[in-house]
Order: sequence, then structure tokens, then C-alpha cells
Amino acid sequence: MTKPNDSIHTSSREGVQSSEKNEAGENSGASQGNNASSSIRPPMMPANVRAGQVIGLVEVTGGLGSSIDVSKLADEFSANIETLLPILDTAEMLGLVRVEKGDVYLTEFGSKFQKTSRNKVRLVKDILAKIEPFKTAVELCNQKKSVSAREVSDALFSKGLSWHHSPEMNEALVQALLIHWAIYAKLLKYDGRTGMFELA
Amino acid sequence: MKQQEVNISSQEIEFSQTTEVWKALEIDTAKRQEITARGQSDLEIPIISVEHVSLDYRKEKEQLPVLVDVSLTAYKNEFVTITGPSGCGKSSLLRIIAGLSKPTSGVVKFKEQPVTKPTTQIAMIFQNFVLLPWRTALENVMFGLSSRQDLTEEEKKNRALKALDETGLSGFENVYPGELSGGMKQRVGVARALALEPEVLLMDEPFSSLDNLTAEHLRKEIYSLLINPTSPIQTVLMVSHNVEEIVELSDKVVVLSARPAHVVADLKLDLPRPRNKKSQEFFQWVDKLYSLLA
Repeated sequence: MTKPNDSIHTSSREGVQSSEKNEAGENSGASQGNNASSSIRPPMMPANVRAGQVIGLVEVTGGLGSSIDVSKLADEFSANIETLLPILDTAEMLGLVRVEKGDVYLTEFGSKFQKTSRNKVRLVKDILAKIEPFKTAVELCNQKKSVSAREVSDALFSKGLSWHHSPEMNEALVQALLIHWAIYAKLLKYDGRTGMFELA
Repeated sequence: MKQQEVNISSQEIEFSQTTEVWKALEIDTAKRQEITARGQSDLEIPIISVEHVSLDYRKEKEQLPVLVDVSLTAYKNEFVTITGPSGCGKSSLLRIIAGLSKPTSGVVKFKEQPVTKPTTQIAMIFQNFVLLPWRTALENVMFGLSSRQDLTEEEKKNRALKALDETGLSGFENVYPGELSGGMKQRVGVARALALEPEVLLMDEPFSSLDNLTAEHLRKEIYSLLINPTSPIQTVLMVSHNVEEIVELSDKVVVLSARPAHVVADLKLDLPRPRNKKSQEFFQWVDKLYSLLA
């Protein structure tokens, strides 16, 4: 399978965190200044991270005490860094963990998330609504009753945002992200028979 | 004798008052002492009883023994794991318990009745999910209820929706399997089994095709879903070769040898729950199982 565009993914990783912090009013001037595009680039969800992986990460981090070394986490799950880092990025973007000097700390919100027994992903619904591609999907659903993944990916592309240079692959990645996160969080509804998303 | 045990158990007789009952049942003295000594809990009949099961595969004129005289029991509220080296016949044994295939000799009993074909009281979850790709999640779960002639379509749909909700898939009713992640596909598989409201759940390496982080939380979720007072499931039998997973989940572990497989150990795993994977006792059990499997 073709991998997502690394350059886009990497730059979005930097930008996502700083701009997310901007919205929360917690960003230091230094990280904003380090990446000129971060102030205009909205947070973007890494393409290949699934909700179950983030839930697993939070549970393991919480179960092992206040913090865990990233390398130990990788060992614990026989996961390589290429797999683990986007999961960590996503968990940090959602405000569930804080990564500092190679250690992963559970935030207060992450601790609440860990202790919630059912439908954990619904707790991050409001945060997801500020992250792409969910933000654009919700905007489009507000304009017209239902949208396809293609319409969302085209709208994002026109804003200069994509996960892959191929439109078809980009659409598939957007579709997977919307299904794996937005439906879980009850942000959107989806009907596989029509391929259309609606507000939940 | 078995029937007499059932009667005693169902009447919940106080042992201090059993003398007259024993006389009435005309049980011989030695047997009476043996049963009394075992205590009331042991008088329960097993939910699943595998009795001297052997399985041979035939290849042209050759006979290949796979399972040799395998016996095990699973009682109410027990989570039993069957483990052993790769290819030893664990999954074949589970399929026999499910009534999906027949043993060469021996018998599997569900509440003392021989299992000779699949029954709605015994549901199974597969390693590779076994979902129909052209059916939505809801249709896949409803498909599992196809054989229930006693349910209307509306009742089947309501059961399927409830099962999807219980497995955290509310909102995914109209999504096709190809659009779901591995963890979600397995949730559909679990929902399909739960919709049957079975008394026995069989799981064939249910987490082995998932990545470790996904498996970590799904394992906990499914365990709490299965083992709770509102669940109709009375016993779970799982096939696994993941030693940590076995120690985390099981009340009892049955270890099979390499093929032809026979039972080399039948161990009660009495660690308190929730189990701490970093505790000394947990490590000791992991070591013990590795030494039995190696």
C-alpha cells in the first residue's frame, strides 16, 4: 500500500501541535515562530492512526504509573517508532498525553479518558471538530445535508491540505479518518450504501 | 449417577440435612462419602465437557492423529483457555466443541447433552473475523440470527442493534466491513456472537490479528462485556498462544502437547482480578506456561 506523503505528514505534525496549542492559548511564542506555516495550518489528524491504538496507548500509559519512557512503550508493544510516533502525536493532539524529553505523561483529561469504561472516543468529540478533516466535513455538512469523502478531500485540497498527492488515495484516507474517528465520536453519521456522511 | 447429581444441585440441598435424601436416592455409601467430601460447588454439572476426544485426519490410506484422548471441562463463570504449540490442533478442538466438525472418537457435551451439530447456545468468534464483505455491520450481525426461526425480522434487528451498541459500534450499523479497522471488524464479530445470547462463547485467537495497542484495550473491553452479571454467557473457551494474554484472562488453562496433541496440564489460574501484568505472581505464571509450552 502506498504510504502517505511524508513531507506533508511531517510538517503537519509540527504544525498540528503548535496550532492546537494556539487554540488552547497555551502555545509559547517560540514554537509558533519556528514554523511560519503553523499559524495558518489547522491541526491535521495523522492518516493511519486508529482510535483503538490511541485508547490502548492511554490505557497502558495510565496503567504503568505517572509516566513511561517512549522506548519502553515501543518495547512493550513490539512497535517500531514509525508506528508509535503518529499514535503519540494523535494522543497529544487530543490532549490525552504530554510527551517531554522522551517520556509520555498522562494529562488530567487523559486520566479521565482512561477511567471512562465505555465510548471513550465521544469524550474527544469537541476536540475532533477543530481538527482536519473533521472540521471541514462538519462545515460542509452544515452547508448541505450530506457530503461524500471526495467532496471533503476536494475542499481540503483547495485549502492546500492533503494527506497524499494522489486524489484517489487522499479521498480514501479522508474516508477512513472520518469513519474511524468521527462516527465513533458521534460527530458524523455514515451510510456505506450511499457513501454519504451527515451530522450525527 | 450424573442425573442424581443434577437433581441434588438444582434443589440446593443443605449438606447438613442430606442424610434422608441420600437414602431416598439409594446411593451407595462410598459414593455418598465421596460426593459429600467434594462439596456442593463440585456437584454442579460442567457447562462444557470434552470427554476422551480424539481426531484423526485421513490422507489417502494414512491416518494422521491430531488429538489423542483430550478431556477438559468448563464450569459456569469460568474463562478457560486452550493453548499449545502452533498446529497442534487447538482450533480443531474448538471446532469440535462448536459442533462444526465431528471427532473420530469421544464426545463433547453441553450441559450433559452431546453436541453433534452447531447450536445457538454455543457461539464462536474467529481469528480473521469471518464477516460477509457485501453486508453492512448490522446485516452481518443479523445474519448470525438467520437460523432463529422463532424471532421476527424486527426482533432480529433489535437484537443486532443492541449487540452493536454493547460492543461500542453504535453509529456503524450501515458501514461495510471493508471500511472498518481490524479492531472494529472484531467488534462486529463479537456483536454477532452476543446477538445470539449464547451460554457458551468460543474464541479462536480473537486478538492475534490486531496490533498490540488495539488488542490491549479490546481484550479488556471484551472481557468485561462477557464476564458480567447481565451477560447470558456462562462460560468462555478461548484458544490462544499469547502467554501474557492467557494469564491476564483465564481462570483455567489447558495446555496441549505438540501433535498428536494430548493434555499435558490442566491448571487453575487463581490470580486475583484485575490482574497486574507487572506483578511477581503474574511473571511466575508466564514463566510456568512458557516452560510447559517449550
